[in-house]
Amino acid sequence: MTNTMHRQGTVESLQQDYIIFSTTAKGFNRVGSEQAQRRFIEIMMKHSPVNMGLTRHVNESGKKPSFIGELFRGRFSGRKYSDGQPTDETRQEWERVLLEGGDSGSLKSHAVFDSAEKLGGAIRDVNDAELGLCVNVNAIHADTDRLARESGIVRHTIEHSLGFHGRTNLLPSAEVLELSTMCGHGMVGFNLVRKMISMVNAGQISVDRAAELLTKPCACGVFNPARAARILTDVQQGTYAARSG
Amino acid sequence: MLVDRSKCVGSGNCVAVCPMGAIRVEQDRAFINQDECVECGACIRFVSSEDAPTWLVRSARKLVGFFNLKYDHPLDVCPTGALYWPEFEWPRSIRAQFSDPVSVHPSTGVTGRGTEEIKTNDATNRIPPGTAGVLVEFGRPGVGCRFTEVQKVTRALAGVDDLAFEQSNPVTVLMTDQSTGDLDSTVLNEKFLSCILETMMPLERVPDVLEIIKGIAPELDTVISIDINARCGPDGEVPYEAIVHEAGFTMRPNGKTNLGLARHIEPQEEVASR
Repeated sequence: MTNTMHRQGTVESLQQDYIIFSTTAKGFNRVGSEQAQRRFIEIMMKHSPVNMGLTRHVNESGKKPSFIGELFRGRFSGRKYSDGQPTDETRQEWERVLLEGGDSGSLKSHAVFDSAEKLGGAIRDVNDAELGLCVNVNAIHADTDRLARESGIVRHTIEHSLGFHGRTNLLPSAEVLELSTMCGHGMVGFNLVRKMISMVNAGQISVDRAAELLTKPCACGVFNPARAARILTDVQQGTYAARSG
Repeated sequence: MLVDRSKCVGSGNCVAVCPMGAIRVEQDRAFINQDECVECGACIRFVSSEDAPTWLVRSARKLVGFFNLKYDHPLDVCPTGALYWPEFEWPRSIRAQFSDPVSVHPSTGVTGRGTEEIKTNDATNRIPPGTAGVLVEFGRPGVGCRFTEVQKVTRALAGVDDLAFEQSNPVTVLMTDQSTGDLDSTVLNEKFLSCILETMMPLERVPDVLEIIKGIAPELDTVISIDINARCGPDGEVPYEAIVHEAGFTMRPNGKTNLGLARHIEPQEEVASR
């Protein structure tokens, strides 16, 4: 999950972006961890994540929509998300994946939250459950430390980004970078982000649909559609520059 | 990635999603620049295939066009399923291994870019107190890179006393000589979306390493992202904060924390290998 490092944006923007994931170490807590992983996912779902993923599940793969169905389905509005939040259908899909992923013994799973309160609740419940899994959080360090301490946890190991170096002139504008870096594998490319911003600004597509489309290439499911919707709205309304300082 | 040009109807939906900008439409057919393509699979995952017959899509378009109208397919659809993965041969296969997040590295058996960093440190104590890990991520964010650039850094770091390359990292596996930092010469021109060089050292060695990276970064024909990690102090203190500042780097406010919930786990016997 190095793919959750280097998310860009102001502190205010990053306070809508909290990722928690569980994993296991070979030779320590991997064998027999399937039930613990399943329980971890159940706890995550209880706290209303905006995205989820499993190591052995590729989000959105294998879908073959019908030609006729595509003619009539909503093109302007989002379908999997509404106001950046997953729809009931999306949550049901996660539950299905949870069962399949749990059965196949997924080695890692994660959830993305759009508020510190949700993450705090998830940390508290995971700690109480004593799952024996390795649990990591990627967020603003001060928030992670505070929320962990509220559950009686002193952080164990820490990792910081020291920023981008080298040919940084190749990097795009701040809003494009902020959206793109929510997939650390680089699946949400700069050109796709630019296209979505352009279409939203031209009124050709809704913010929800654009956020949904930006979420789709992120195979792992660490992209935050709720935060993306807010950034796109800021850009559309011309308030992004003021908010990003 | 390849395009079946007998199927492609030139919808152009795969163009924008390519992180490397390697796809363009020429004469109503998509074309992928194979030198720039990193085999990440972003295109084929984004555009769900309808598997519609090519003749039907072309006929429908002509009919709609006859009435001076236009039909664009939904943005995340390839109407005919024209994209397909080829069989990869060495060294091209290395592109997918480093760029496709669901591809498995044969060298390590894991997906993604194959780093261990802090994720399981509460169980393994791989990064004990007094040590630090420094990671260099090449081509990230979103720029891409070739292994020639990676070798510039591996060679520069290879001579640092007490520095160890992480042995289970896929980049280390590509080194033919860890004492010189030389990589397998057959992969040097291969392009990928991003890869991570993972190093470990005593905390007091961190300033030297950061100085070397700072010195070589302007010579690289790509972007790099730098990470640093370490075991926290007894009350959660960050042991490298002063070191990083003195080296002239700024720590981002966000990053990763291992909560330590597995810190009391006892080692298991090796009953299964996954």
